Amino acid sequence: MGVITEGDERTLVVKVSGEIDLVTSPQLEQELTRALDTRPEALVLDITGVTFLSSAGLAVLVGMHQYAGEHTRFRVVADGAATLRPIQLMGLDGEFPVYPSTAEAVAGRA
Amino acid sequence: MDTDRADQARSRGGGRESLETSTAELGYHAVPASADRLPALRRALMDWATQAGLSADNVEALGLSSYEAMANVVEHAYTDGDGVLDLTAVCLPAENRVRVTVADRGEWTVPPARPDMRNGRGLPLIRRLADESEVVAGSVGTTVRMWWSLSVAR
Repeated sequence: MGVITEGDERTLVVKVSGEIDLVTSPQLEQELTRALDTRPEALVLDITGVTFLSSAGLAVLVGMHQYAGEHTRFRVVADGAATLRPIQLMGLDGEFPVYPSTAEAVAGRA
Repeated sequence: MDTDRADQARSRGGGRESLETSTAELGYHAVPASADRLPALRRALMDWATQAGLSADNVEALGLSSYEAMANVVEHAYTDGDGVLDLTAVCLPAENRVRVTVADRGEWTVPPARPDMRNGRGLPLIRRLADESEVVAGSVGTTVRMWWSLSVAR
């Protein structure tokens, strides 16, 4: 799994690639916690480069959405079966907004 | 150790299983139940499923479901953190589908309900991703069985 964080104090974009499974999900949680602790207005989590998203990864998404709280808008960018399917199957796209592209997520359009 | 292995081999031989495996079967027995073993097992299963003729969607579903079943063993089956799992995938031509079985020899420690529902999505995912699935808790462990249809030949 690879994680790249870029952006400014208003909007942070965290791009993740590789597999989010039992082994790698704690690392993702750490990176996202660190990013959220800078208290950006929005955090865009781009997982379009993720090839495998297990329930351990879904738990991180849910946990980080809660951790972001009222202060930071938590948005996810996902497409394709590997990521979007488990998110939708578990109804998580009803808990936090999921966008098809980073540009749309940064802009915050529905 | 050697005695254990012999017992395992005996207990698995000559059963109902062998009657159904007229075509390719994938089997990993007594694999240490540890998280770092799972990615390779998932990939082997997905390669097998592709060979068996599952659709790309079903291969993905089988890979994720099997991972979740194995992850449950790693996380819940063995309280002392030291156990094994058995993974079997068989083609069932008569039923036009495949079956993946993940079995442990431990006792699931069901985690207490927590507000964040952490890691509680494994079995729900399996139920939604598989055509059919069952979880059987026996006296010597828990077995998860999952079925997917084979693609219709074009």
